[in-house]
Amino acid sequence: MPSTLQSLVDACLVGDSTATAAFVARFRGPVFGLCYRILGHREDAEDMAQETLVRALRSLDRWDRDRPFEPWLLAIAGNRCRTLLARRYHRPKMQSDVSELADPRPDVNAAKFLAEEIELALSKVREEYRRAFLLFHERHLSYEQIGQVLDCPLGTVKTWVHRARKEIVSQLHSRGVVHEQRDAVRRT
Amino acid sequence: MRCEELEVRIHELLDQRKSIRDDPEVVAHAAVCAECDKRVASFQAMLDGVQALSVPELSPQFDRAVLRRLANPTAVPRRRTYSWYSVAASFAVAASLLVAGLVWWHAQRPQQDGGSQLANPSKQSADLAAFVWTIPGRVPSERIHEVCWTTGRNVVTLPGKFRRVAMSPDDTSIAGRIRPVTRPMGVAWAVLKRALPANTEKTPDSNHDTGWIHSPGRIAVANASESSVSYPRSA
Repeated sequence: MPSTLQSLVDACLVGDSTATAAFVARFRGPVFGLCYRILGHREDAEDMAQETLVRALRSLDRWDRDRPFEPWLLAIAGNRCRTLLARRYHRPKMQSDVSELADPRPDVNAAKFLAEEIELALSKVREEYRRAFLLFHERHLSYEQIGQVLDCPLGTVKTWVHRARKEIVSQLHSRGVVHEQRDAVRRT
Repeated sequence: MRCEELEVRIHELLDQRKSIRDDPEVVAHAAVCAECDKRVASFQAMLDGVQALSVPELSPQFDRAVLRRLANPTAVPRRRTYSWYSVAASFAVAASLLVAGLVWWHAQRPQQDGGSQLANPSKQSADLAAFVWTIPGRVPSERIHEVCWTTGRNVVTLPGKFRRVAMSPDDTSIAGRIRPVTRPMGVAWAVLKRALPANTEKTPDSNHDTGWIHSPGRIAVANASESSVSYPRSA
């Protein structure tokens, strides 16, 4: 199996099926993760991830080798997701299954508890803010990459991420999450 | 550092992916200001919480589905070039179909005019259109099938169980595969939406019109007015 990305791409371009399978295995995680964070729906994300990988594999010859590969691939994923979002814009909004009641046992599983609180807070944040925030903090994309993926200016991305942070922090604060968390840390 | 400068500083640090707990200015200020100390803790809780978020597992058939889509040239349309004779041939075929359609329409018209809507549901189903609905690629290959709404026969047959059904016509996971042949698509979807929920279950992670059919069966559409739709459990 080709070891470097360049040789993997070369092998895919000549139709090497082992290389193609390796390509899919290598990039399915980041692509699916991105799609899931943009779409917030597992099955739609899987569909778009499949479509992204197929499109990327079919247009590998158009990848500019002087530029990093992953942003190019993620930009394709962003395009696919945006197309899907544009078509489903009038669908009912996603609703979180997370309860409005705070978990009374934060120290049982602090990480899980915090994740649930973040999910709940995120469900109340505007969609654009939520996407930008998750792409930056959870997917670790740069502001430039997020701008490419969401097709908006860098300044806008920054504003969205900052606003999302403020809203989430204020929700965590108002729900007393921080105090409980600190107490849990102190107890351990 | 003053209190109003703290949040600006925190955003700067986070933008640079630096730790807020290791910044001397933030630490020094938080040590003397209880309110700002809480604020720092809130930001830290947010960061910890994001790291604890999880992404669902990919389905085990994911790789296979990608490779199948890749092997299937119709899955993602490619640009094609047309030669003059292929264009001419297309026109010839289109003209033939038009003539055949006109002949068929003339043959059907007297019967439609004279028939009762409720007494002859199969005639009404022509209004519901014929469409081909292909279950999307994430379904394992052995489950892939086409659901055909056959004009005149008035029945949608779902030949297996656990079929995913997306009942929204704008769902892009299937939109590219829906080919409305006649009119009106909306009526057909409305009938399906009313017919399916009795035997479907919504996916837990969305409130979209997406469901899983839990038993094989048929959807019978009695007439185009949608007044009597049933979903018999017969296998």
